[in-house]
Amino acid sequence: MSKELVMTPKNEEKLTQIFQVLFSLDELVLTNEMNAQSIQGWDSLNHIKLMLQIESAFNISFSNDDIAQNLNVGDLKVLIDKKLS
Amino acid sequence: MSNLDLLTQQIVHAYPIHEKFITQSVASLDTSELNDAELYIKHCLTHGLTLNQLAAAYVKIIQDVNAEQFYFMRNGTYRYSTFSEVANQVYFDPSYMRVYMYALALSGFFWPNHREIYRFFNSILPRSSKGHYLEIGPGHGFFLKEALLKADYTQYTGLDISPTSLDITRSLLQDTTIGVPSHNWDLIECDFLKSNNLHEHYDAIIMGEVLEHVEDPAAFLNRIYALAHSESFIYITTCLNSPAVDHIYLYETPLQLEKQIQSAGLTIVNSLYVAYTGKSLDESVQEKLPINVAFQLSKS
Repeated sequence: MSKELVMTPKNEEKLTQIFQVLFSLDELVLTNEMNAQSIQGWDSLNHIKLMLQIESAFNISFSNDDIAQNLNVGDLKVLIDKKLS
Repeated sequence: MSNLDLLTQQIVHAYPIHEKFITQSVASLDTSELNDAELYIKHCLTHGLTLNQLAAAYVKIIQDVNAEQFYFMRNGTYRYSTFSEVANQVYFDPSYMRVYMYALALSGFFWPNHREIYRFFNSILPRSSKGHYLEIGPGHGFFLKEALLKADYTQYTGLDISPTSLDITRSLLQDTTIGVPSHNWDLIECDFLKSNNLHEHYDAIIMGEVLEHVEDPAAFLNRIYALAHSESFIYITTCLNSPAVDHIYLYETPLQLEKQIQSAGLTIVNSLYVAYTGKSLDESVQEKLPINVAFQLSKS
């Protein structure tokens, strides 16, 4: 996935809050390289919960292919921006 | 490095999010299960598959299950509810069915819930009983293989609606390295509810992961009741809140399932509920998370 990051600070904050609550990591600061290996608790089920919460928070809809991808945080931001544009 | 390690590596490479889960799961296999896993992978490799294809099959099914889990959590129902919606894209599609069966067989080693069900079966399977043994829906053939190796029934029959499933089961049972006796088993392609070439009664009736695939599971339980006698060993498994591409009947609570079994006249002798990893049974029900179930039943 290309990495043309244009996510607004407001959306960045919204995404960070989703991660902080879902993974119970109050102090988490997201970096684009973070992924399922580096964030404790980012397993298959929590990945689905994460995508559902992002759908709801950003009022977007993910496809099966979106769900199946191995995404890091940077990829996720690009995907969200793409859905919002 | 063992074939199991190589396969695990390929799966993790293709689907990194699965790394912790699969690593922990493989680490918890006992020696006998590790040997079984190596034997099964070797069987696949000597029957036209590569490790790469096995890994791809496994990842494909994981991703399909995740897509259905996503749908389920968003909508609260399984995507499909009728047999006709799923039959042609799964049971009667040889290409998909092969991928599905090989992946499901591997899940017996890679998923703790499936392994617990397998261990439970092994722990209660009668070792010295005689007579006729029937398995409805042998799928990848693992339970039938296990019974043939460990029990002492006179004749074993497996029936399935999917020709691909029967081919895969036959291939496993005919593999001499697996060590199954060659003379006392047969496989029949048919619909269990419509089959008219069965014995009047069976001394063992096994039905693993079928109820969630059919529109009218009560009819299957009623037919099992009719084919059992008071001493028959009856073993069934199913799942609650467990979406998959071909799951069409949704059980949401243990009570719902147990009532259906009792309505068929069957009594629960032994039960195993495997809650979602890290959750209690109550939490899994409340949160609508996958639960696996196995029962030993009796007709009494």
